[in-house]
Amino acid sequence: MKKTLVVLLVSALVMTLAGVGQMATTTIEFWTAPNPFQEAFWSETVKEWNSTHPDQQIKWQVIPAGNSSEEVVLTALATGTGPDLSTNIFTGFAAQLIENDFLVPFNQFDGFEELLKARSMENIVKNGWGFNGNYYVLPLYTNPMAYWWNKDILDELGYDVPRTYGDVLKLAANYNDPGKQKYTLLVRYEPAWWDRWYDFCLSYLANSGGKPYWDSEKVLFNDEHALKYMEFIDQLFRKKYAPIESFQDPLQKGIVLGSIEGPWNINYTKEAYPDFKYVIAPPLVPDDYPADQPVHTFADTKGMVMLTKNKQKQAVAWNFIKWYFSDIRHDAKWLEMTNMLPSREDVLERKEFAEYLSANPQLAEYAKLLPYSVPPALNSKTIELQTKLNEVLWEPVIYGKKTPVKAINDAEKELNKIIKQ
Amino acid sequence: MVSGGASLPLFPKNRVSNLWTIWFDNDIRFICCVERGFLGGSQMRKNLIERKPFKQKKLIGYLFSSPFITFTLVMWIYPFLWGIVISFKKWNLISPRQTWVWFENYIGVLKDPLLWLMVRNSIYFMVVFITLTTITSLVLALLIKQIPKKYAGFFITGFLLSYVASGVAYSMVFNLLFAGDGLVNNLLKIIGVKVGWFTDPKIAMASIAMIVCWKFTGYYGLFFLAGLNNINPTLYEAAVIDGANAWQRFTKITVPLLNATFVMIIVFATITSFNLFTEPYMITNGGPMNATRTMMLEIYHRVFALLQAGYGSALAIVSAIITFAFVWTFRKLIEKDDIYDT
Repeated sequence: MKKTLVVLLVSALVMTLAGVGQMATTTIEFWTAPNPFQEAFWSETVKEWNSTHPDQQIKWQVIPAGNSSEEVVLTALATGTGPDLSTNIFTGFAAQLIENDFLVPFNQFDGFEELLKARSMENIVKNGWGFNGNYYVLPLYTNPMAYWWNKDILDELGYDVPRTYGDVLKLAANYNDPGKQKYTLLVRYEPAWWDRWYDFCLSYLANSGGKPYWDSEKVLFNDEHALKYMEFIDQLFRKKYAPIESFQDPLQKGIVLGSIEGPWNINYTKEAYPDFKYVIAPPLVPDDYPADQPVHTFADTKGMVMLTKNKQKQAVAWNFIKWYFSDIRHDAKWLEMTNMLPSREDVLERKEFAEYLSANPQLAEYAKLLPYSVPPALNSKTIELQTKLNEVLWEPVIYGKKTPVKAINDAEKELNKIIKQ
Repeated sequence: MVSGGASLPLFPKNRVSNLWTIWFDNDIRFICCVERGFLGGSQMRKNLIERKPFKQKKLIGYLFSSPFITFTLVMWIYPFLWGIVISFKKWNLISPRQTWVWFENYIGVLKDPLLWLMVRNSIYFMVVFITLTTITSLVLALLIKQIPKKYAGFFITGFLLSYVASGVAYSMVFNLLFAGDGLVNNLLKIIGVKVGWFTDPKIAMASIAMIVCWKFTGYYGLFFLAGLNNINPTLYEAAVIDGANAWQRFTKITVPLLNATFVMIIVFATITSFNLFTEPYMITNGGPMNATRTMMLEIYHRVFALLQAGYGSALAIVSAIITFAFVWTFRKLIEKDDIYDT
């Protein structure tokens, strides 16, 4: 009888302790970008964290498939199935989430300032990622956008890499032949709102020396910088120097000579088109832009945000963030696995990145643009603004329905209406 | 594509008494039609039920209907009513704050020039889609009717595959096929023609209609086949004796006696036209120049990209009313009750 009692008590104790052990384990949901290279990186990184932190587990998954990550995250949040921690958040979307009280400011946690210094991102965070005196996003990577030019064809033609709009038009006059599928420049016509980052926004930043195209109060782009670019776009389409049909990999196939590309295409091009030779150059500028001045570009930059309101989960998420951002090995591994530049001020200086960049000269070209890379202009209505920008400015000019001047005036009027709503 | 539609009285009650099931999706419509057209099982079921006492019959009826009734309540009635409530509110979907704005969203929808552009796009799609699909599915049914019955199943199944294929997958395939350097344009290049299938605002919607036609040909062909099987063969024999040629037999017997099928297909095709979503979402995203923007696409964009749940719901209600108006008008124009009794 006594034996039975002892066995029962011991069993009860073991079960209780196991239960306590279970209860002590906190698990958070972590979502990352739906990109195969990032997926591989986070899979390994989360596995490393989970194996060394048995009481602070991370349940990781990529953001489910959808038209855009933003839509998927919003839908998940609306249905109460959103993550506790997520990457792939740009500034405008973060502002939208902040307005709806979804994000947790990182500066309320102990060790925030030390973390910014440890990762060498103090200036980056404080100069582009602050909202009402708080910091809700920690930038993960910065992808400056740049032009790619087909080196073989340019060499064959005896032309230098175009620097200005005039250079492109001269080159096109001697090269372009739509009948033979020979176009000069790829200009994306897709109506997706984010596409306007890579053409209109990028070129406005380039022409204006990095001036924002709008802020939270009003539109700022109705000036000569936007006009010069839209006149260039108008000429490209009127003279058929840019194709209106869709092609798969038109640059790599030699259908166009130049195109705006992000560093994520380097690895893909290396694998799919190993013989394709290209030159990476800063954005095109108007003819009167001084040749000795640096050219700014748009930076596709995304960060990490915390969404959980549960204090226990917040503690786990913050511990993970500190662990991830304070160790330069993670950024070095990120660079190697994703070919995307970490959002650090010391990328060009640290030996941890030097070896990889010297072995990958194309990415090193992108790294040189980092000091002149500007993140998206801050506005919580970015998606609505860029949807309207496409509707009243971009497509009407491409399809010859409006003059650039009228399109810009209309866009200013319509976008200001949205901002003031 | 065809999501839950409105509860439209699509068929005369004396014709198909239990067709309240057509509220839902194409599969349920299909089951009802096949049941009536081919299987002739309704009489057998009637006999079985009639043997039971009235109360028991009622209970069995509710028992068998309960999954459907539950589904209707949860998946249709609740969201439908909630959608109506939301359409009178300003709500950004993710915030607990919801403000009553009453008719403000409806006024916004009706004042937006995009609404009429989307209606125009849907009518354009409808004209191309109904014309193409009616022809292709009727021709398909006529061809299948000619072949021996033991082989017919193979062809029916083959053509139905496009209907059950994933909209996302085939949209991607068609996008590649119709690209500037895709197979179709490469073939056309031989005769010196190049078409911007999805980039020319004038023809982008027609290209989408062609893809949707590819999807529905086998499915609508099955309806026509059921209709053809229901035509009494003695009518053709009599016509032959009277000296009618093949064309006269087709126009004087086949087409009039397929009136019910035509009505049904035009009703379904009209709903498809106003509910079009997957193909433009995947291929053109509403462009170029809003030429392929549909009401469903705009509802999705408003609610999930711009977080305007109230506006999106109001647009959904307006869209349902417009769809109903078109369906009702078509029924009035083409439905001929006297042919049913022939």
